[in-house]
Amino acid sequence: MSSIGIDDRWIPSQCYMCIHGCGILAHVVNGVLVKIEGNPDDPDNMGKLCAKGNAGIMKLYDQSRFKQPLVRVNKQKGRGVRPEWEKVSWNEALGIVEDELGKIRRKDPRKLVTSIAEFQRMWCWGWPLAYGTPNYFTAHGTYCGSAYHPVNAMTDGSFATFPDLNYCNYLIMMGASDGFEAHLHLSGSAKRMADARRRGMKLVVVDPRLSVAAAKADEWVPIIPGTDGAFALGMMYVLMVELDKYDRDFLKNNTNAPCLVGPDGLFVRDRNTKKPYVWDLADNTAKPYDDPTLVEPALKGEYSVGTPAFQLLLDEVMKWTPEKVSKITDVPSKTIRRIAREYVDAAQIGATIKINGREYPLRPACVQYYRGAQSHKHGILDNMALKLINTVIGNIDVPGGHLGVPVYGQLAIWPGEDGMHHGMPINPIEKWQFEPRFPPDSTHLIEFVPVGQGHFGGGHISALTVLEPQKYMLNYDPEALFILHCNAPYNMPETRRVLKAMEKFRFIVAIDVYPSEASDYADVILPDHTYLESWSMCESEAPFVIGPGFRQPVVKPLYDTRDATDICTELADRLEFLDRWNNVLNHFFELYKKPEYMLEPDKKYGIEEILDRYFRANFGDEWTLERVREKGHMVRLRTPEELYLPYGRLRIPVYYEFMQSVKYKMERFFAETGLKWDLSDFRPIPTWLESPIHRDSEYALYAINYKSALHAFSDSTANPWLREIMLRHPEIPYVLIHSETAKKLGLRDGEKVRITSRFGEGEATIKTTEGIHPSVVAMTNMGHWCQHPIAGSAGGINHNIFLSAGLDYTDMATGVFETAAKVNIGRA
Amino acid sequence: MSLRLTDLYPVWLVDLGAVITLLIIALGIAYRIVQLRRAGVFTLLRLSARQIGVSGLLVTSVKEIFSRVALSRDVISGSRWRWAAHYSQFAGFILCAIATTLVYIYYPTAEPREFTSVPKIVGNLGGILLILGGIYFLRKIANRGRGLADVAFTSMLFTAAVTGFATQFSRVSEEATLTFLFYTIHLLSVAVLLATAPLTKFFHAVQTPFLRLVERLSTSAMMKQGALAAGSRALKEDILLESVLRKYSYE
Amino acid sequence: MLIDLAYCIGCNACTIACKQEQGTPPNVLYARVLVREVGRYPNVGKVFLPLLCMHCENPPCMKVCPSGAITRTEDGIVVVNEEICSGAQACVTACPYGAIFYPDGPQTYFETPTPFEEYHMAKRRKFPSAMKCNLCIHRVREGKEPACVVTCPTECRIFGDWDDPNSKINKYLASRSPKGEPFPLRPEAGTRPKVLYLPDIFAVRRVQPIELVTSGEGVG
Repeated sequence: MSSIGIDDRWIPSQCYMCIHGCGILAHVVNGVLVKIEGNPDDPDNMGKLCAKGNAGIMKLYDQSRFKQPLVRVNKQKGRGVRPEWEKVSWNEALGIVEDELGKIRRKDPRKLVTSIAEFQRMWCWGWPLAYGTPNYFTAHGTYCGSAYHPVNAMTDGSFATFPDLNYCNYLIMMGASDGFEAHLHLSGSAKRMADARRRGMKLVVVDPRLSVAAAKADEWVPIIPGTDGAFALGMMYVLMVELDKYDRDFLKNNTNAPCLVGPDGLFVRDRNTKKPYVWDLADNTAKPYDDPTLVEPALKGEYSVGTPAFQLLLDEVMKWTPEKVSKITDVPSKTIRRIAREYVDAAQIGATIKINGREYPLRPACVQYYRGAQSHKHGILDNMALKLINTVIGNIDVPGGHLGVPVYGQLAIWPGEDGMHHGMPINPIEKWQFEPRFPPDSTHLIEFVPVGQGHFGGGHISALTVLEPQKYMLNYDPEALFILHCNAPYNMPETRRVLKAMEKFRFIVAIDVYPSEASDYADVILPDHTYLESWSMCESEAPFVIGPGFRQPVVKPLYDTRDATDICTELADRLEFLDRWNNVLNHFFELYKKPEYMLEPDKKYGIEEILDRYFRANFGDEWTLERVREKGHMVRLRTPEELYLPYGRLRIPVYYEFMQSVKYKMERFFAETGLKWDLSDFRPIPTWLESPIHRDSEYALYAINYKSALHAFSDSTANPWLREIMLRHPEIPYVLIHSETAKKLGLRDGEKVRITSRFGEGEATIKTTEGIHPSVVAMTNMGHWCQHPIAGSAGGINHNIFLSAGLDYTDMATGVFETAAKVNIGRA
Repeated sequence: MSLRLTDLYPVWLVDLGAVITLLIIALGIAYRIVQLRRAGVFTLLRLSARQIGVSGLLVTSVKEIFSRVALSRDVISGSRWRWAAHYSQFAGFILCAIATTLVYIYYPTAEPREFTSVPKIVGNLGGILLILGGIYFLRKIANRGRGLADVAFTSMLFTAAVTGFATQFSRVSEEATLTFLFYTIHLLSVAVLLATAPLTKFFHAVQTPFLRLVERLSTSAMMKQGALAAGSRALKEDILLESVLRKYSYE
Repeated sequence: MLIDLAYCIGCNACTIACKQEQGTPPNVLYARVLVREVGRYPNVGKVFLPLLCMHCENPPCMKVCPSGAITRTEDGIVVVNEEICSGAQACVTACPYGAIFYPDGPQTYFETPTPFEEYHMAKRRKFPSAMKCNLCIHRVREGKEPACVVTCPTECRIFGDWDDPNSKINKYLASRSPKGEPFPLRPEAGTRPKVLYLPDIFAVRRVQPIELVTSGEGVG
């Protein structure tokens, strides 16, 4: 309190204008939030805040917020239909939900589908599990991470990846805009990226669109969407075949590259120890990979016992000459060769660096990739190729290279039974055995798309199965939908179909802050606090830092709203599974570490109480909630020991044997059941396969979606400040098209056009540009139609209407779908 | 009835003073125009003309002058009193200027004396308006403690009006000394007022409407282009970007 | 202030940080970022140009203001005194940088003012009035940096005293590689701005020789 009569405070908390949660300081004067700034004490964002974080005030004071529980009056549902809400009491609203979900739970809990995208309260993802349904998905998780996360996990137990900007000298960014527009922790990453560039790091951006990263890069390489995997294979060809430059020591000592593969595609293992054999060139015998007498493990060649994994990779890479890759990607072979050479030269193979008295390899070159590069029909193969272009230069988790980033805590690295990194996708909540099952249990068919990580995998498949459960072999018919901050109708591909699925649900309950396309379909609204009125803690894929951020209310709740966690607890109590829910919380918050802090099965706990127990159980008794409130966060920089070589002597894969073993399970299963299923995506070595979009000649142009720094989830357009900038922006409200392409189509800049794909159509205004591949049009996340007056009137177009939710556009191993569409454009 | 102002100061002397004053004014205006040009105001006109054409520029100008700019309808909306005072000063000055011109043209040797003569009616009406407006603004200035230049300008305008009346009345009552005194102050204050006009607040009577007109023209030019940001800002943003791009091509 | 265009990523964090700090009404954006594409496919780049009031040593806005509402403080910050502003709007047109706003639309973003907006409306001495960036004078006098500077994720906005050799600005200039000469926007306007820019070396390298997308005429 600075002066008498004026209550003037700065309160530390955590941002939730995107998933990642930068540290913030909220300035509150007499109970009014007047400013949000980055918390300079938080080593993650270092006092910086992006536009979204700066716009939080307008989320709190949004006048369209749900101010009390609501019940739908208008029984008709559909695109643009007004729900006509009636205000009810909490008791009444909860009673209705209890009644509906209770009936379903007694009948068959699987009939409840849940759509949860609450990324900072991930324990809520366990609510469906406690309820008893396997059906939960995040609408946007499918978009970017389905194939990316499993391959990262298989490689080094990571969830996401980030270039080591402390040391990297040559960064190739593919379909990503880390540190510019999107992906991990924008504010801190932008600062680290700018500093790396100030240091002289060279940046090459491979992207169909001149993204901000591309605009700032030393070089922009336009590419055909969905061909980035081929580009990586072409680079590998140059490295491994033409230049013969790759990190042999790393491959031999830190990976499974020398391990011998038998004709069945599995490693030849020692019968007792399960350790794979390698071929020792010194005495021409096969030995377990860690045999003390091993001198010179072979990477190449074919031996009586088997073939080194590296040779199999080489055999595949041999097929991808830059000339061939050039035809696929539309990148000149000369460019592929030059970039590959620059990349491997920058890697300084053999160099080392001493940090804190410890010597590490120094590989200051990295290929960073994200959604644009790998969320495609054969996403898992793209991911493997893009991962291996890093692995072969030995830059995985070493200074200057390609760092794994866990969701929270440390990388999930532990020895498998063969003594190598266990190399399996991580599944944060359920124990999933990667076994196909018949009949499938879940609406997202994880039983058939086993490598996707539960809710990340194939969320969009729910739209297919909900509409036609029998066709997809479900033995039940989904009836109700539970929504927690998730906007499936806006965020999922093939809008037309998703809307039909939304209309089919008999009962929908939504926990949300303000109207969205999803809550427009709800029968009951349970209003949540905004992040500025509630408690939480979150650590979410932060590069370079570790430890949870901390959210506390900076103002008293403005309306008759409740905390989402508390709503989940209340519903669990009313629906009589509080014990199971408390068990989920005990696990998520790791309260079992100190049993005295564990939640009792039959008691309701408020989120404050749970957080107090969490901090004391995990950080020591002295870390009471009061103390954490003062400190404001528990984030610290990772030490070099945590960042570099986290796998130590545990070998990481070059050969994804796990995929081969899952493939066997799948083959066996499908042979037994007589069902037909496409297994071409299950491969231990990547290749590049065409997507339907590459074959579809009826539609002329690729339509891609890009993310601007102003967007997150689907609700940033509802923020009047952000919307104001979006509408003033020369690109965001429009569909970007190459000037020459527009000219050929007889279209002028600023003209209204009609865009059609096989799956939907829409109208938009075009913006002609030189900054896009001539065969591509690009659009970002506009085109809302929800009842929120600010978002709903912003205009623009939503890319999802052009995409397919079908299995023929889905990666059959992980459930990621093809995120590029094929469209035709004509005058509206 | 024998006191003539032309006896106090010969016509040639007043004329000489007027010529010198005009020269100073011309210099001042040139200085102001150079400044506005540097600030890019004429560039805005040129760019607007490029969008809507010179004829468009003229048509829009006439329309805007009559609909908005002349009466400052969109500018002074806050207080009716202020608007009234503002325009009584403006009209007062114009009327006085007209009266002076009439005298100059129709009474080259001796000014009229009847209060019913046209220049007298026009001039006195103007003087009253100037005084009324002046009272309002002097009161405001006194309340606010404004800068010296402003105080000087407003009081000088007021003084010119008051001494105009004082001269008239003293002349009617044949007070030669007083008349001489008032007339001298009157002539001097008018001369200083006009000579310094381009550098004082006086100039805003021309400059502000002109700038407002430029703003309106820029707006209609940008609206034709379909720009979101209306007004001169959108034109300037273009110039700024080009300014930066130019910088690059030098290096 | 110094703005290094090489590192501006057009994220608009400054735009909204300014909105928060100043509580400006719709369409009033003291800080904002312009974008312009340069070059031809595939040798094409994008230039981001962050703007704010240039706090000129010789400010045209101040000269044309009929009521003397615009002044330059001792520390070189050009400010509008809302109370004195008579609404003539001459400054809006005269500023070569488009930095002065005269709100003519609604004062709030929603139908009724939010508590945040009420807080700022209570602080405003007069509305409407000419409005412009005051370099967060209230923060600067407290020893803090302007809101747009502290939030800038890439730290391309650098705040400091040009005359102090130990200021952040001069230290940055000394350490930057390659060296660059800070330049003012529209030098021909003779305004002597106190906000200077460093060129986007990457855009230069990428698209050489730079082709102007628009003709470049009319810069006078």
